[in-house]
Amino acid sequence: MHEWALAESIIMAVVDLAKRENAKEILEVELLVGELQTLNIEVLEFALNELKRGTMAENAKIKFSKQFPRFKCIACGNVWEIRNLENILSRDEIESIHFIPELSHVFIKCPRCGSNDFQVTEGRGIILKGVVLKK
Amino acid sequence: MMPDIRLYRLKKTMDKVKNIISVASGKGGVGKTTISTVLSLILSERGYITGLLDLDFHGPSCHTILGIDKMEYEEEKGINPYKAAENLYFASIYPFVKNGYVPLRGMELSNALIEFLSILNWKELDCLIIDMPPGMGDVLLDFIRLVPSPKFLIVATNSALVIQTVRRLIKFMIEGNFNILGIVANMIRNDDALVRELAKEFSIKFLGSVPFDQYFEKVLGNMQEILRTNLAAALSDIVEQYIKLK
Ligand SMILES: Nc1ncnc2c1ncn2[C@@H]1O[C@H](COP(=O)(O)OP(=O)(O)O)[C@@H](O)[C@H]1O
Ligand SMILES: [Mg+2]
Ligand SMILES: [Zn+2]
Repeated sequence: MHEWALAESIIMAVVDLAKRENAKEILEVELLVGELQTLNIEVLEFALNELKRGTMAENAKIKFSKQFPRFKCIACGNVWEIRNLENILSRDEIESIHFIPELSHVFIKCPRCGSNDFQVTEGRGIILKGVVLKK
Repeated sequence: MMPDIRLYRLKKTMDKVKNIISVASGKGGVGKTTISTVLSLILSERGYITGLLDLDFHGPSCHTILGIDKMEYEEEKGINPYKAAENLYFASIYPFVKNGYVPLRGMELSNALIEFLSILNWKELDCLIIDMPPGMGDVLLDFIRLVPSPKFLIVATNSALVIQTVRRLIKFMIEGNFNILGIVANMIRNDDALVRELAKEFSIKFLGSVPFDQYFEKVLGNMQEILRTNLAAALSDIVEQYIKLK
């Protein structure tokens, strides 16, 4: 689990952005959470709320939206989505992908042709989607 | 454009490292992994707090030299590099992938590198030694884009086939103004002239020759024995003369 590490990065990133924009305050932070990384959103939210104290994001509202991972096979063109990684992967495999989503190429294969040569087109990991600033 | 959040933590954890030595070559099979790993053993034995980072995602192998088979990371808001010996902290994707193959394309290598660098919790290190993959692809390019002021230790063998590839890497580094610590001639049986000439051609330091050590294969996995090889003795001389840590 590295939700705390991610939360720390998010706060550093939004504060840096706000400073560069000469903002007075950060009103809202919008995060897109790709589920390939199986983050624990409650832990992430808790960590963000702890870490934002005393920063320009102190009163920021934090919004999450989730996205299932989608894949496109480069070998055969197949497109697929995975809603529940636990159905096809072991705990250790999920944990490896949690830390480095690219390791999905070690453990996941195209359900049609069996190739590991695919792209993760959506839902890879966490992305900072938007920040609302008060100037 | 929203910022890439990972880069913030990457910078923060890298800031704890006083010296970064990246062992590179451009060519595969010349001894980058061997030299980086043994170098990290030598430095840690001398009392420096040392990190060893295996960035060869397609073929991680430092752990084999260290004799590490079962390896698990301690997790603490990220992952703590594995304590491989006194003063030696090691990170590799090996525990995640074990003996599975790792088919990654360019952008994926790049993302894997950024992700990995940003989740590692290095201690305050005197020196971080980095085992680079062969080639001048995404890992090298992102490494120099993201990692603050590394010094490059370049490895070559005394073969025209190797020299021509290493020459390209050196040109690239000189034109990009990267800091080259010097070049090491590895697997030397008697002649190291081609590597010395290459160093002279670019006015970079020739750090020394490491002999071909047929005994090395037999001591793989045994850190104490490795430190007693001729290979380690030659590297110790190089450390003594040229590796001045801040
Ligand atoms: N000085 C040396 N003496 C004997 N064997 C060596 C020496 N340096 C490297 N080797 C061996 O050569 C092979 C390639 O070395 P390695 O470190 O994996 O190269 P690279 O990381 O550049 O691909 C390995 O089998 C290694 O044990
Ligand atoms: Mg290697
Ligand atoms: Zn397919």
